[in-house]
Amino acid sequence: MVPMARRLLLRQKGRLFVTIGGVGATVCLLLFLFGVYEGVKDGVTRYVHTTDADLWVCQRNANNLLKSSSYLPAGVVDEIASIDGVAVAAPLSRLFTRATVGGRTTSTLFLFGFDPSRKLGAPRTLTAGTTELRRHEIVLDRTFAAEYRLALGSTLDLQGVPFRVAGLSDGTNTLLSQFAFVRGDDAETLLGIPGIVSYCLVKVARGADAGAVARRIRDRLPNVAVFPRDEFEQNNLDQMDGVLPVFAAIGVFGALLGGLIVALMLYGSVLERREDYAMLKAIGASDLYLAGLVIRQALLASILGFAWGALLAGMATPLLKRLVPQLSLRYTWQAALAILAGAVIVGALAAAIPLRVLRRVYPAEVFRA
Amino acid sequence: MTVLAGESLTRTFGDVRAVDGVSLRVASGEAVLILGPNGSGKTTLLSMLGGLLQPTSGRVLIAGTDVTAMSEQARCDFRLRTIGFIFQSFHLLDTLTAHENVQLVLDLAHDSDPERADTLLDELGVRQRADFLPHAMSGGEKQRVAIARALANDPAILLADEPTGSLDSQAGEATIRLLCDAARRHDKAVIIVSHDTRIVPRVDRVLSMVDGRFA
Repeated sequence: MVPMARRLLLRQKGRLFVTIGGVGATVCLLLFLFGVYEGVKDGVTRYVHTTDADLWVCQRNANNLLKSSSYLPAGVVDEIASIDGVAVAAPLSRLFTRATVGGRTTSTLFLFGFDPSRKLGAPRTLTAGTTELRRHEIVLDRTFAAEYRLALGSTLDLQGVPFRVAGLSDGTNTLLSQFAFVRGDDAETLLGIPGIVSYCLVKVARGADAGAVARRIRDRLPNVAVFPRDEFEQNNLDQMDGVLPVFAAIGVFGALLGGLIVALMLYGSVLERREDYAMLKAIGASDLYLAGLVIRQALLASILGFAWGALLAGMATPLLKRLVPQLSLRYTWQAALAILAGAVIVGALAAAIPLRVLRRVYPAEVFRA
Repeated sequence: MTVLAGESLTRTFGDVRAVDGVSLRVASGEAVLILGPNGSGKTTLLSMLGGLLQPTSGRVLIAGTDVTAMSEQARCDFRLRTIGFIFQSFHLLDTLTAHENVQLVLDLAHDSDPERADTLLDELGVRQRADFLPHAMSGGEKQRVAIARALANDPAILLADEPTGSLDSQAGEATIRLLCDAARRHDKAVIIVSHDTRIVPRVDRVLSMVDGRFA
């Protein structure tokens, strides 16, 4: 079998390289987009997902960590601890603050204060250091630390109080802001309102039913909201909904751009080789064969473009992470396969324009040349 | 036995009658030259005989089948299996080797004979150029490959449009000799349209065409 599609594509190498470059750049952009999305998704869920808490208790009407305020009297924690089926109840404070590093004010941090003695609420995904915090020690998100050139043992100021970096965490970056962790008593001092916590984290006793414990907490404390971990995690994820349309719009625009590049390449190719297509029709090539020829070229260009884009993304990511440390990129096979499938579909659709031209090529044109 | 018949073929383009009521019959193994100046309508006639162009009126019968009554797709398939075309400017695909240009037609017809292309190239004396791209071949060699391509599916009819038009006199003469010899050997009907009178001694019959009609 003569590999016609491959030969026709390779005949115009310059045009093919431009097409692969264009499609590759689009694929690279989409991979970054998916990577950022997955990175942020990880950032808004991993902390909740990895804590040992089975239940998250917060002020009524609050339902997530990121976009709702929650204040509970500290006494609630002891009251919850006394409920049947609760193994551990631990307070978690949250405040928004900005730090000062070498005279430079940082971006806003989500600062969590946990009780080191009860463990619940400490970040579980450290890349360095410890969560056994002493007073005026802090665990920073590693991308935040990288952005401000902070390392273990470095110092930053929170509201004029120096804190020593004792740990670095991963999966605590929501792109717009990062998480940091201090002891609960330090958080209370920074908050300036004693006797207040933001959340109560609950670990249920072995053998106890988390749903039943949640009901008991609601019965005892009607002014609080109680969420199983999975639901609370999903609530945090739902806060990204506003970002999704933006990502989707960029993704659609990128796909259109990639499709247009392939379509233009093939459109030019069919016009340029009009006599060849006329000759093929004259000698008996069916419309189906010729359509297949054009579609195969489109698919080949799209797949080569995808491969180049994936390679480009692989090469550019380390550089990008160095240049923009707060960027959290997570590539998944699912995303890559989705983009590959998209490239194939868009490539096939892009063949529609040259196919219209091809339909208007008449076999008798072969004699005009 | 008549293999190709054109009956009262007329083709108009606007007000111009390019072919005006032409009829002809060609038998298997017969080589016919349609001789005429540029603009006489001979290529339009060839297009109609080859099923590439629908006549305004009249019909084309190939082995008793009315080609003009077929659908576009059926005509396309019929062309593939029944007619071999040879063009003035060869129309070899420049991205394919000589072998692949011949093999392509076999692929279109789903012919799985792996030796067929090489056999034809051998018969036409260009086997040694099988792996060459067209740009690396002379005009005469390209036309031989084009003849091999036209013969690939063992068609009943060969239609050649100015086959010597892009060749020097020596190569042109050799090409016509090869074409006619191959056609006779394989019992093909051959119709050549040309204004090259040097072809005359090589064919069985000559028809002169002027202003869309046989003189």
